[in-house]
Amino acid sequence: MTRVAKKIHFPTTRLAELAARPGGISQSRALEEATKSVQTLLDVGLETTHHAMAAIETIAYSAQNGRLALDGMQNILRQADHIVTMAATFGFAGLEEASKSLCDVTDGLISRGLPDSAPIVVHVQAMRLMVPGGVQLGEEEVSRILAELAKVRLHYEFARLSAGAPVNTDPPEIAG
Amino acid sequence: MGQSRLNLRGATTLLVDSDAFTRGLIAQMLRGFGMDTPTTYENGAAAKAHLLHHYIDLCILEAVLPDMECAQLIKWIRRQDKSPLRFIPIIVLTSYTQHRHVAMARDAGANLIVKKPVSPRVLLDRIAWVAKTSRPFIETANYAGPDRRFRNLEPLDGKNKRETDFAVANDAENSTDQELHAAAEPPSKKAIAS
Repeated sequence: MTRVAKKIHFPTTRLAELAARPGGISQSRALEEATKSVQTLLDVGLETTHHAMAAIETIAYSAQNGRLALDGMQNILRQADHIVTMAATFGFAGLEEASKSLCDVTDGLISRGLPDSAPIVVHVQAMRLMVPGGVQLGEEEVSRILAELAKVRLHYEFARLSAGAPVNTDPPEIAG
Repeated sequence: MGQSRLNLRGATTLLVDSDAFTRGLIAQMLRGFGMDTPTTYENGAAAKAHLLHHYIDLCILEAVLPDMECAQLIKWIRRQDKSPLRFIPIIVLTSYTQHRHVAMARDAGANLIVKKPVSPRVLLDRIAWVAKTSRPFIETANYAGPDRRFRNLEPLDGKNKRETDFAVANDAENSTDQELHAAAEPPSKKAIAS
């Protein structure tokens, strides 16, 4: 039997000491304050999205013979990821779903070494329609566009990045 | 959550994320919770340099940083000799394309993993949890970090009935994996019956 050296510590962190002090604010008030603060970032979020969209479009439309360079595709993946976060934070469901689909497709293309620009361009065009401040689309139109994007993923048989993703490491409930 | 109170005034946070929007978002939430304005960086190297010279109460890291995986940074923190540094609570944020890095971050010694986008409620819950829940810190040849088991254990069975029979803080103790796991298991039904 192999013997493994092991140490077990029972540290007290300063965060625990601070949180144990009396006073402070109620959790409901903390949430209220934080939610208010987050809403002030909507303009910043929209500006970030417009920058990210512009960066993605520049790369996607610069394809040579329908092919994209690997570093360009990696940049698209990063920028699309930022849009997913922003769209999900402020509840732009259509844009969130289209951006996720772009991430799935771009990641799939990179993984398989395919430089095709067409599936990316079609996603970029769809996203442009859903960016806040642009065209006003109805729910039905958004659903139809998203269904078409799903067909692109299906054509390539790309798995979704969210499929099989581990859930948050949720801690147990805290009493009090 | 009721009306329980949380006093996080004066708590310092290191926030490392490549996305400026996320840094701004999390910083606003932390301020709303009454915490100090976090120190923010967009890469791991700058965060390391900061940690060597400043005391931090909480680390919030993106799963993939521009210059390294967060797992590398977490391992570096967990192996530091300066004891307050290696024990600091670490929360890892994963974006849509980073879900596959969850296992790596966990195995590197992160306390909790949270998926983006992070809502104020989720972030507050997680911070409250790491602040209020004391978890043993395990240090072995291939892992250093909080005990990853979330089970609420019943009293131990057999000779060693106290956790402290196994845990000798600050002293190397030789025990096998099997012995340690056996000690941490709740008593079997058979043992209770007898």
